[in-house]
Amino acid sequence: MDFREILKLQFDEYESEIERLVDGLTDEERRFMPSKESHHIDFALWHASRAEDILLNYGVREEEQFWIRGGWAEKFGIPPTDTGLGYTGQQVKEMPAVSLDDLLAYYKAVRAETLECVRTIEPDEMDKRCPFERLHHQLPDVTKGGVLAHMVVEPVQHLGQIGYIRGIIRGM
Amino acid sequence: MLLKLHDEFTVSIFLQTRIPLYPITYIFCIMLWILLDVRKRLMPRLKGASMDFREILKLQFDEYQSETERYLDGLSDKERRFMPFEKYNHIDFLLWHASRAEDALLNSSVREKEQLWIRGGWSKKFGIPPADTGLGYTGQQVKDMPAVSLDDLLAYQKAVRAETLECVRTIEPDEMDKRCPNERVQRRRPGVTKGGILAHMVVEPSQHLGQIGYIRGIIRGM
Repeated sequence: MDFREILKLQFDEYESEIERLVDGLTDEERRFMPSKESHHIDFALWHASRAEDILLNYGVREEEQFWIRGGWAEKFGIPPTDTGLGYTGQQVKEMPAVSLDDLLAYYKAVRAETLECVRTIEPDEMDKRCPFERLHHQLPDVTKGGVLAHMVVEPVQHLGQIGYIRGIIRGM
Repeated sequence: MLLKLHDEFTVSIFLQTRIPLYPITYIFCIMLWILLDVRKRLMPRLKGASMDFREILKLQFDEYQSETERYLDGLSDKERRFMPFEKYNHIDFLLWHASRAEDALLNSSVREKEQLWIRGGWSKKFGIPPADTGLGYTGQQVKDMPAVSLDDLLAYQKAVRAETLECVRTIEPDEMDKRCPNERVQRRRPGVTKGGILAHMVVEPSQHLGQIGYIRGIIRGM
């Protein structure tokens, strides 16, 4: 088992969990906020995909983000530079309505690029310093491989939040 | 670095007219190029510095650790037992359950040893039955979970994590590909290997970590 297989297994587990957790939720349920400042499921799903996109493309592949390149910012009606980071409760509440299909389509498009990168990245590329300088404030001296490892831990936390909100709405 | 030296060397050979361009010079250059190229290709493998499964897992467990400490920082006992809408998991339950799951997965499914929860006397210390993992607990059971100090919760978490990191550091690569011996886990994840369990041990507890952060957000604001 090499680094590729570990990451693939983790991303696959994320995939099957996300489908299970959003299954059958109504538009209203997906916009439920347990408190004024606590985000809803649509926000968590968008933000997790958005974070994966920026980490992959700026932190590893050194390409334009798919959010911008693929026209998703326009499609969602959200400014191209927004990632959801630092959003207030009010901003989360006012996030434009996006269908579950579109949210999942963006997520899957990003994930396809992630899996392609995990499958093909050269081992010595993994040890190179991450070129996205802003990320070094949060993870000092992180390598490209470190960014890929982080791309599991961060979105999976949001996945857990989606499960928790679902539990509040539908019972455990 | 090697390639750069080699380029400069080649250039100097051809540009410095003082060196006579005998056929032997060409042959020497070609042989040198082959030697350097082969070395360059082999270097990453020889030094073994490339990121392997151990390093990926280590980074992920380390991130989990620093996030856990950040989320718990400064929370009171009362805040850690806060249940949104009076029935959803509180932070103490999530912290215990995540460590408990890591312990069970590591020891029953990878190392094939007695769980630390039992072996280390933690079950008695916490006053929770040895077989309990928190899985399937009702809201009432979560509410009634015995009061445990944050120090004890973190001591158990860190003791389990130390065994996890030791396992990640020392497990043989061919052991990673072996079928997980825990049949109960096999029912949920058919054909899972020991390596697959270690990968899962990041994904499951990290979900609970995100939930701890979310509850902190409900209590304290984002």
